[in-house]
Amino acid sequence: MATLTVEHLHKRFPAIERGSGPTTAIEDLTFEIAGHVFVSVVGPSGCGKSTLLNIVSGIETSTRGTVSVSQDGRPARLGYVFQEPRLLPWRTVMQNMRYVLDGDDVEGRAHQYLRIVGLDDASGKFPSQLSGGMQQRVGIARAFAVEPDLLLMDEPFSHLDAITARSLREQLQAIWAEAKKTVLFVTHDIAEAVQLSTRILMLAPAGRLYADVPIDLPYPRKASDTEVAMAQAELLGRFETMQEETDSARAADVAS
Amino acid sequence: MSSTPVAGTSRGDPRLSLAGRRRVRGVAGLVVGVGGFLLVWTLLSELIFGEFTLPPPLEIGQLMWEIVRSGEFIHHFVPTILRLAYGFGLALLIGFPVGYLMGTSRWWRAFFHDMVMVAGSIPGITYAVLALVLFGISILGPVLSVGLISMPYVAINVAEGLDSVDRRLVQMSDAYGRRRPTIVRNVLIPSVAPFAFAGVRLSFALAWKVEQLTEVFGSSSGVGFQIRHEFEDFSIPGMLAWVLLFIVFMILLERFVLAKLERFLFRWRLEDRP
Amino acid sequence: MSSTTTTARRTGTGRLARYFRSDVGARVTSYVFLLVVWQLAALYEERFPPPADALGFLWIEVSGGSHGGVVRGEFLEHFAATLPRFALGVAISMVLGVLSGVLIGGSKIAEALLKDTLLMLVALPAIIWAFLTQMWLGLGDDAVVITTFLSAFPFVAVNVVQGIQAVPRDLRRMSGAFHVSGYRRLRHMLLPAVTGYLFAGFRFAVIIGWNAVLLGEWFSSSEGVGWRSRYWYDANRYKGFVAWVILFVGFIVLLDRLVLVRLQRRAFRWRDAQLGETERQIEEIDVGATVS
Repeated sequence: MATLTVEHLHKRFPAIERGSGPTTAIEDLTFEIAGHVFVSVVGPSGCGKSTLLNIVSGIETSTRGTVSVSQDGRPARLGYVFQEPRLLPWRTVMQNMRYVLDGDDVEGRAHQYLRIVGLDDASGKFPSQLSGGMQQRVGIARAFAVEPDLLLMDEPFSHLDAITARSLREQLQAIWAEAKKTVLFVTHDIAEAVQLSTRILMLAPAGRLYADVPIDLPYPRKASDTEVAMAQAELLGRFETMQEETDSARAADVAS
Repeated sequence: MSSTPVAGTSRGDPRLSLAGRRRVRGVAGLVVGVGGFLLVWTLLSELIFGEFTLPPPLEIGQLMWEIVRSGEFIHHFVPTILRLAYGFGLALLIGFPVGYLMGTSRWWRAFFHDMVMVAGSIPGITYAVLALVLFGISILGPVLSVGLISMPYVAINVAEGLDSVDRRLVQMSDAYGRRRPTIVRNVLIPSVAPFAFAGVRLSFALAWKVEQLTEVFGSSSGVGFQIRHEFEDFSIPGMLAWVLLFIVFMILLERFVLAKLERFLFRWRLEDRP
Repeated sequence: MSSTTTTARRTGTGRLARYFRSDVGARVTSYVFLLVVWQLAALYEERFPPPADALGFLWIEVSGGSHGGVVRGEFLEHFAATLPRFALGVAISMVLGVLSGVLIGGSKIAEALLKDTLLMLVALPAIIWAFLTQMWLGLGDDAVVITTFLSAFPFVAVNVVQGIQAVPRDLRRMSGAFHVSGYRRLRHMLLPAVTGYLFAGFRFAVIIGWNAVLLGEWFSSSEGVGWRSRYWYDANRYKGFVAWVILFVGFIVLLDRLVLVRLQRRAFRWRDAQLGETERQIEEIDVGATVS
């Protein structure tokens, strides 16, 4: 478990083509998460949620502001699950697991987490021999095998079919409940966020923190639970309100 | 004809699968091609050039058979193949870093550009004689010639292949804290390997010709050496027999061994799956 | 290139460093590097002449000076002997190559029967032709010219075949459907498409032809660039051999880069993405476009 502190984060991308100006992906974002939590970041596309994750993981740097991830003072270990599995195609499943693991008992841990996602007997196969869902499960196992303090997930189920996604969501809930990690989960799907999270950060365009909503429902949660459905409806309403406000603000900008 | 699908066969279905039919067509094409070759040869030999100038296929065939049966062919083919293999190894060894530099740095691209370009158009005789002057009768001559002539193809291909490296895999490696050498070894090199291999395949024919020339000038064993030997004996049949054996084997080698090697190295690729 | 700061502009080293870092600087460095390697190789092997010696010899040869009193430098007469053989060889290989290419590419039967023969000819090392023609004809111009075109024409043919087969089948069927006469079909449809491939074949003919001429002359003549190279080699005057290497490599490189590549770029204006991998690769090895 880790503490993630984001303070006045600002990220601007330089202009990519003539005529267009630089884009500000994130204007000024501040929040903190810590402990055994599952925090979702939701927002429409272009609100900067993927950028946020890239900055937290170190793939990109911020223009201004600070991001610190720590675990009892020492820098925290990170796991990252991407939208696409991002497995090395020329390595077997087991080799892919080993690629990210350091320290002792790499084999043991790899097998353990593959077993948890039910793919231990596929450890000798190449990614091209697995279905999309299976590859993504390996990606999840890989992230967990690192035994990270902070687990980052960027819309990990968005490229999967509904059935696989539903099954993986349940598996994820179970693993998280048991492994006690800090999870930062990015998604555009409110319903998914409500089903999985302890807290939802709703972002408007340019990374503006629109709402910070705790979700106090008990686990395990099923999409079919009434309370879950109600919470989903409520948050969806707030999300739509945010969109309307954003749209009218944009229209006002254009008109002025 | 029934309307059952042709792809794949069920047990007992006597009709060939799609793949099988393709193979039969391939073999038939080969038979016709070889037949045509023998036909042209025979016509030229009997009708135009005469049996001394251009010995007929049968005579050469018998000689070829003798050379193989007596084990002489293997005895000389092995050193030739080894030199080719080492030469390609050298081409890969030099071509990879050169291609990497050319693909990632503008300065290095300019630095290597002329060298790489010229290496491919230096007359073979230059390599052959210079190797002789520098190294005498030695394995270095053929090996270096093959290496230097194939290296440009490998380097250019590697430089191109770098463009195709999946950035997302590099990002993933960064996110998991993998160091640069690890990323090069696990992401860059495997990404680029198919391109490097294609470079070797492209330069294969060019390389074996230079290798033969170098062997003719400066070796004490190998197919090229035998060809020179037959030339000095003034034996047209002998020369033709050796060269044909060599070419047939090289073509077989390219079509089967190289192709199989390519498939093994790249068995993880989706396209290679049946 | 980044803009210079005022400090860099003031100091001399700044400018030198900038020059070094430029593309031209890189090229110059590569030549310096090669010269250094050459010099080192000459130190390692005493029979191998260092650059200065080879260039000095070259100068004597070209200017007709005296090589140690008895032998005089000869230059023009050898090029004058070689170039006609070269040109004739290339011309014949173009004619033979186009004829056989059109035959094999245009007729399915011919293709089935003869394509493998063509590939076999492509695979034959030029040395075999040099040996064969020597055994057939002994010394003389004929042997050299024959070696030249036999080595080169298969490559022309292969390119012509590829060119013809690259013409979309529909185009052919369409002109067939409208009963366009054979001659017009040839002129307006096939020829423009084939021109690009024709030119690629021509380039092959020139480069391979030059190699073959030298090889042929090495074995079968009494004058010419190839012969003169051998003359010095047999006399153990390796300075002479290397001097001639500089000459004949320089000749073909200049010919290729200054003349052929420019013509090729024009000829390929019509080219589309259907171009085969081989040509693309070969072109990339020399087209300056990669660095310009």
